[in-house]
Amino acid sequence: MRTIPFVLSISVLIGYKLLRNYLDNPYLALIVFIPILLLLVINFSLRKKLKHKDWFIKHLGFLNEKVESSFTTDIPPNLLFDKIIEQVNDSSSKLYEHDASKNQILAGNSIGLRTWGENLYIDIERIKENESRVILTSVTVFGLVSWNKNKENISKFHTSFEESLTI
Amino acid sequence: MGIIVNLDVMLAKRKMKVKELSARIDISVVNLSILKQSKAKAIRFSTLEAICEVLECQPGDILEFVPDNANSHV
Repeated sequence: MRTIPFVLSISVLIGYKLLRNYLDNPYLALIVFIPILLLLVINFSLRKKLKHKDWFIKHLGFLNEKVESSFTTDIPPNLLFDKIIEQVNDSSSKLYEHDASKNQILAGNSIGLRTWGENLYIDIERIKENESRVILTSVTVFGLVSWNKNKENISKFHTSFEESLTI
Repeated sequence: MGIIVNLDVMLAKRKMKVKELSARIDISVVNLSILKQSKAKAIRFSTLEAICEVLECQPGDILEFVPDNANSHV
């Protein structure tokens, strides 16, 4: 997996070179490329904090692909919160941040061949005393297309959650 | 009601904390709490065996079947 950032860097350089040749003006190519690279850097620096959730889901919504899904369970929210943290820690995703007071969890997947990584925002809502709703939002960190990774993340989460209820 | 998990009753009888049981059978406190609250979908034989071994009891002491219409027969 260490080769992936290298391959991506080379792709960016090749892309820049092609654009430069195509536009026939090195400065014009830079003007096109710098905002894209800047956005990539900003997104990577903001991705691991829950407080920047709106940046990825609302403000940048037109530039990122997101998939939302929800399900209900009869596990009370406080217990469910701990259960989901445990589940994320046992999975291939990384736990970036969690806020017990708001029942919010942020997990993420690192860069792969298909995407620049995805963030998985998990919100737990209390419906009744012993009933909770889990809202999952998988969003790409950078890029308009997730190549089905968002759907896969949500599907994987559902499957592993159901499996984890066999104790 | 269906299957009721009486793990809390057995823990009280043995004067044992969930945390201690968790450490002895290598199952997380969160999972034991889910089991204790009858929120688990299923229980593995290996889990049941470990619990019975530590609590020195029978599976029937942990699990109980209560029919849904139990109250209507009373």
